[in-house]
Amino acid sequence: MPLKMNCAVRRIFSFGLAALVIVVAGTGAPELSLAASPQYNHPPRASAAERPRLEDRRRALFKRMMENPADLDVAFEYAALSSQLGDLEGAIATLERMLIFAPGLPRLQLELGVLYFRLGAYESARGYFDAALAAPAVPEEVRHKVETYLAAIDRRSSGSAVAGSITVGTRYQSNANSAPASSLVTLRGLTYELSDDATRAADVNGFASGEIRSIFDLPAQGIIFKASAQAHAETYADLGHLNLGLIEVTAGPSIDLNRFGVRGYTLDVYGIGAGAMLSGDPFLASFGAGLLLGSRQTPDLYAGLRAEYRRETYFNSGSNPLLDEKTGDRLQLQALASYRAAPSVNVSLAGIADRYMAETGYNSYWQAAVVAGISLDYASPLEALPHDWTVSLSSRLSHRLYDEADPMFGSDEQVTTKWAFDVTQTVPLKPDLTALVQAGYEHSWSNYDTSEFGNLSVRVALKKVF
Amino acid sequence: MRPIADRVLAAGLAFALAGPMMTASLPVLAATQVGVTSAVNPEAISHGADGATRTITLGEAVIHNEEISTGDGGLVQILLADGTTFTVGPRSRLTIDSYVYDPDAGTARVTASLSKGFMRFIGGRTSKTEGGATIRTPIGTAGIRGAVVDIDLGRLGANNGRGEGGRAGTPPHVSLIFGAEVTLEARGVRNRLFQAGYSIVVDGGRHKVMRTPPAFLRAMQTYLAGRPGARGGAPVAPRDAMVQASGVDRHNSQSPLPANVPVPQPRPEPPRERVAETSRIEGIEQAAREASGGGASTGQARTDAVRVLTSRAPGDGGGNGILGGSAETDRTGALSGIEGKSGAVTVAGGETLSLPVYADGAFSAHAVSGVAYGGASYSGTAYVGQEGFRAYMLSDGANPLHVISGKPTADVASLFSSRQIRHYSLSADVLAPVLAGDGATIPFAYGPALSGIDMSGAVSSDLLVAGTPDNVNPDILAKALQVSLVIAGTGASQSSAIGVTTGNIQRVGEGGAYGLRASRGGSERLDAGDGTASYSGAVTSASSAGSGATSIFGSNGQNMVLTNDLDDADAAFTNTYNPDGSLAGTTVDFATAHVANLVSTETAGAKSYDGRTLTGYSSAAVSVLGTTVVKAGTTTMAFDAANGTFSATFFQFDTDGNPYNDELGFTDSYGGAVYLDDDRFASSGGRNRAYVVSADLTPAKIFDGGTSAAICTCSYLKWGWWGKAESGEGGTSSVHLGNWVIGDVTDNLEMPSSGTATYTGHAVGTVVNGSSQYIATGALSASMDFAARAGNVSVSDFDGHAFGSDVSFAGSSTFAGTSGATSITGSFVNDGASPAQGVIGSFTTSEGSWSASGIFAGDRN
Repeated sequence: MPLKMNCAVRRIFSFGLAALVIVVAGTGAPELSLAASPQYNHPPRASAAERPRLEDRRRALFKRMMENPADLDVAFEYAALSSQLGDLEGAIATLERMLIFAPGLPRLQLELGVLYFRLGAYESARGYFDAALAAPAVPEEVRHKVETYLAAIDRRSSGSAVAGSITVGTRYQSNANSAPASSLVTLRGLTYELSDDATRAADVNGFASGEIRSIFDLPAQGIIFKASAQAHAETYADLGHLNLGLIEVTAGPSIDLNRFGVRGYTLDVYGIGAGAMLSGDPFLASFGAGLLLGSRQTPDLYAGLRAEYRRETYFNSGSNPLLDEKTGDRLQLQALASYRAAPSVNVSLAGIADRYMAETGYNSYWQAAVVAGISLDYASPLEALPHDWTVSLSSRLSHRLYDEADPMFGSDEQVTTKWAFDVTQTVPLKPDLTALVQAGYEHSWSNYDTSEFGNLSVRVALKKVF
Repeated sequence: MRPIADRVLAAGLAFALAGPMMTASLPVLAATQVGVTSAVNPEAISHGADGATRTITLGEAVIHNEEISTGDGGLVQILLADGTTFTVGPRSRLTIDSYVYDPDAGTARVTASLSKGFMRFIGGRTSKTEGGATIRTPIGTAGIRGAVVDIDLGRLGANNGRGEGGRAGTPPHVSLIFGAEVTLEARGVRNRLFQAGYSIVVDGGRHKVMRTPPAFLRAMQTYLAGRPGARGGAPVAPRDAMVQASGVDRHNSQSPLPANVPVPQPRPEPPRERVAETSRIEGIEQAAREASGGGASTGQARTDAVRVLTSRAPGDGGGNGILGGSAETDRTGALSGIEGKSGAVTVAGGETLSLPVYADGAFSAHAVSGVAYGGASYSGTAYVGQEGFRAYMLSDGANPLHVISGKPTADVASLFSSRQIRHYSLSADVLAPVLAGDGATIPFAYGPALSGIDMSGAVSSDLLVAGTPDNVNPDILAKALQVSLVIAGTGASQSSAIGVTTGNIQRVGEGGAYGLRASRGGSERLDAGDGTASYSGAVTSASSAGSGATSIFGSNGQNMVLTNDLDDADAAFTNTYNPDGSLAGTTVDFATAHVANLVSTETAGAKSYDGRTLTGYSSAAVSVLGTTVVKAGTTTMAFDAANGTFSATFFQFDTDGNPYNDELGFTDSYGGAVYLDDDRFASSGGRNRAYVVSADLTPAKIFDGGTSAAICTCSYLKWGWWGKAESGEGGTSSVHLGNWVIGDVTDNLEMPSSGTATYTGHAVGTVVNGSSQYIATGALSASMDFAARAGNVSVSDFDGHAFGSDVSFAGSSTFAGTSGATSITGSFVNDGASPAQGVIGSFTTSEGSWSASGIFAGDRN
């Protein structure tokens, strides 16, 4: 009986994600089969064009290695190619053999430690790193690298890992308040002129965003606890009423469904808490819960289905006395996928469906959105900045249908379509510090004049990861 | 034992055919040679299937069923053709039981037995093949998939020297270092590892899964990494420089440190974007609210059914505030919006207009302006009440625009089962407001005509409504009246007008729909030197839902909106100019609209007149065909409390011996007569009936130089006004502000038989002075000798005239006398306690072209 259930579960999950995988695969490059080859346990660090040649070479080396296992040159080259092509197990087996030949050689222990680290076998890696440092004569650069890795492992100590980033920057927007193009709006068939503070205004803001993600291993096999928080604050030069502060925290267990015989799937169950301030006044409090079924069948392809519920409570303020009418319940479904089409190319696609049920019918809506993105890593054109640069494009299209007509506007329900497009260039200044330049445009079409606008923005920021 | 060179050659051939990544089409290989020893520290020996034993060295072929054993310092790494490696530690024993590799299919299967010691397995193709790697051990059979796995049979601890009490320090275990899955099956029990970093530990025969202790890993690596002084059989050991030069670090330790935290799941919609979007939308929406007239208050959305009344087209008899009468000018729709904000009215046909939306509250008035409609801008007042009552009374200066909503009174009959008098205040008409000196609205009046009149002394009553639950007509639930009076100025510069509106709360439609149906009466003489106009027209309450619906709002009948009859396309208020003036034969049609609001309720006064007929005197200046004659006479009034009505007849004193010609006017219930109590009764007239008003309803200060409204200290008698405009064979006969006085006339038998008495009071009447006619008052004094049954009645200060006459009352309580041109007739009246406590009567007098008639009343001193 359990076996049958497992099969059933597997079928359901497979079916659920199959469509996504197909969609993403359809957009992928021809190297899909190679990149996703099960013989590798890590993405190759070689271009698609190089790989066939390297594979041929590795095959030849293996043959020679079998013929003469004592040929060190062959063994090292084979290990190097295996590492480059992502066959870390092959590299480990070879280098562990080299270590038998030269017990205690720190540089070998360093490389083995790094290989295990890349596999995620941190304690095995630590064993090699510790051994390397224990050697009587450790080359300085080896010691330095080992210490770097040991520090990285320490961040995972006690079964936990923490990573995060802080981004600080400034953003110019041609229409920072999303105001309609004309100051004259039609309400109930009559024309009114909006006050100056509601007509389109360019402005510059300064912003800071922080994100922290952490995982904590739980004692049971296949369950970890994830917690993440993100905070964002932006303050405007002129439009102070748009000054925004936001924090959102999610936390909950992530269950490896391999426990039930379903390989490659995880199920995250999490709670959500969020709060926002607008212009110094309480703006939003949000609490909810979510489910995320994720699949990483290969290192290159991630697909997920997410369902979230949130209770969003909006607070009135002096300048926004009717905000509480927007209070309601949000149900959101997301289908999302990201796919590494090539070592330097990543594509992502998501579909989002929202049902928002506010306490007033004219603030309740259905919304469907599609988000697509592609990023491309390329070699830095500047010698002084050796790390790869990344350019990414993303676009979002959404369509929103409100339940009821807002009596302020007339007798028709609001229908709004929105499109946004961003181009982002990231320039790593250091391994943990990146400069970002982003240009974007968004446009909203609506039968309500107040939701009809366009906005051009440019963002410049520095991002520090830790 | 075969020569080593042969074995190497055979192995080399086998591996050449079975390279790990081979893609050429080859038959499935199941050679006896399965791998090669790729590292060997001494003290490693092989037991062949034939029982032969040999020492293993580097690069030797490994064949099926060859048992490989290591001693205390021994170490062997076996590399299989598919890339799989076994690294066997000291004091261990391993046999490759079977091995099949199919390079074409990319599959490989290996079965090995570890009967002693410990080892590390690193999978090649075997571990990527379903069921590809099986290792039999004393603690169970391990199945490995895609993995780096350590297996220790409990000897690690012994080797490590950390065993206690003769027991191994590391218990037997299988550890998943990396990979997909390891199972360990023993005696029918299957344990499974699917997450790297976990181990199956055998403790006292029990298997348990736990996180791999670091000590397990350290011990394993220590022993599998060789030992000082040993080189694994390699002729030359790698050195630091060689490793450095090998390039193995280039895509490994030289690459940036991988983040190695789980890849964050993409969040296609960052929360901050959604929050920022909401905040911006709200900002713009709030600006729109404010732009459209809404304030910053927090109101609820509401939608109310409304009736939108607009000006009747002049071509249809409209103008002057006349409302409705057609589908275009009388529409229904809905007002939707947020309380405190501007809302929208959408009427049939799709036309819209914007109005402020109010929350329910105590009755209040709010100025409204800038309402765009039909190309004009309207302003006025919004009246707001409870239960959704709203009346937007607007105009553009020439035309009205009224929007009415409200919850109709559900049970009107119950409401008017009480005989209490309900006072409704009336709002001023938005187009042509007319107000009395105390601010009270003078309703149903034609404002333009009255605009030059001094209204400081004008009086106007509330709309008074009293239930008549015993009414003989079940469709009539209550009686209602409203009166106003202005007498401005004196003599030839006098202007005067009286408005009398009386009617019923009655059934107006099917299913218990009720409303006010009233008639408008009264008259005016705005120029003493010109003629009079008589008032007519129907006053009705307007529902919020169109005709046939209850037009009283609120559960307590709190509100009404009164205007012209909306169900009659020809309805209007009409002022008809009588033949006695310059505008003879012309009419003015107009309408006003008023919001009625219940302000108080009182118990009705005494209705002692109920069922009785009271008699008294009357006077009038009667105009016929432009000729006005002052007349005096009598009156009779009969009262009916159950039906809330009364009737009145006005007679002139007989001049021709034909009583048929003596009736000057009359009224009855068809004239809308309303009897609220002894003090307050009125009839609007109409249908050739006269209007009648009791003076208590119009307490204008017309006596003593405009300082008193009381004719005398004599509440036991009643006086008032009457008038008419009657079309007959002799032309229109009209009376403007005639007077009457009634009382409880003393029976002759009750008359005192001795003594004298004096009476003081006032006279009021109409003067015809050349071409002018006006109201005048004077002082009354009378002295009576009851023994002589004679006396004197004198009027002074009456438009500058004094007149009187001796009177006698020989055979009755009625006295009469004539002195020159003055004739006086009157009666003694009781005050309910004493006979002959008062006198009432009428007079005529003249002096040249000056003539007058009137009534008088006096109280015994």
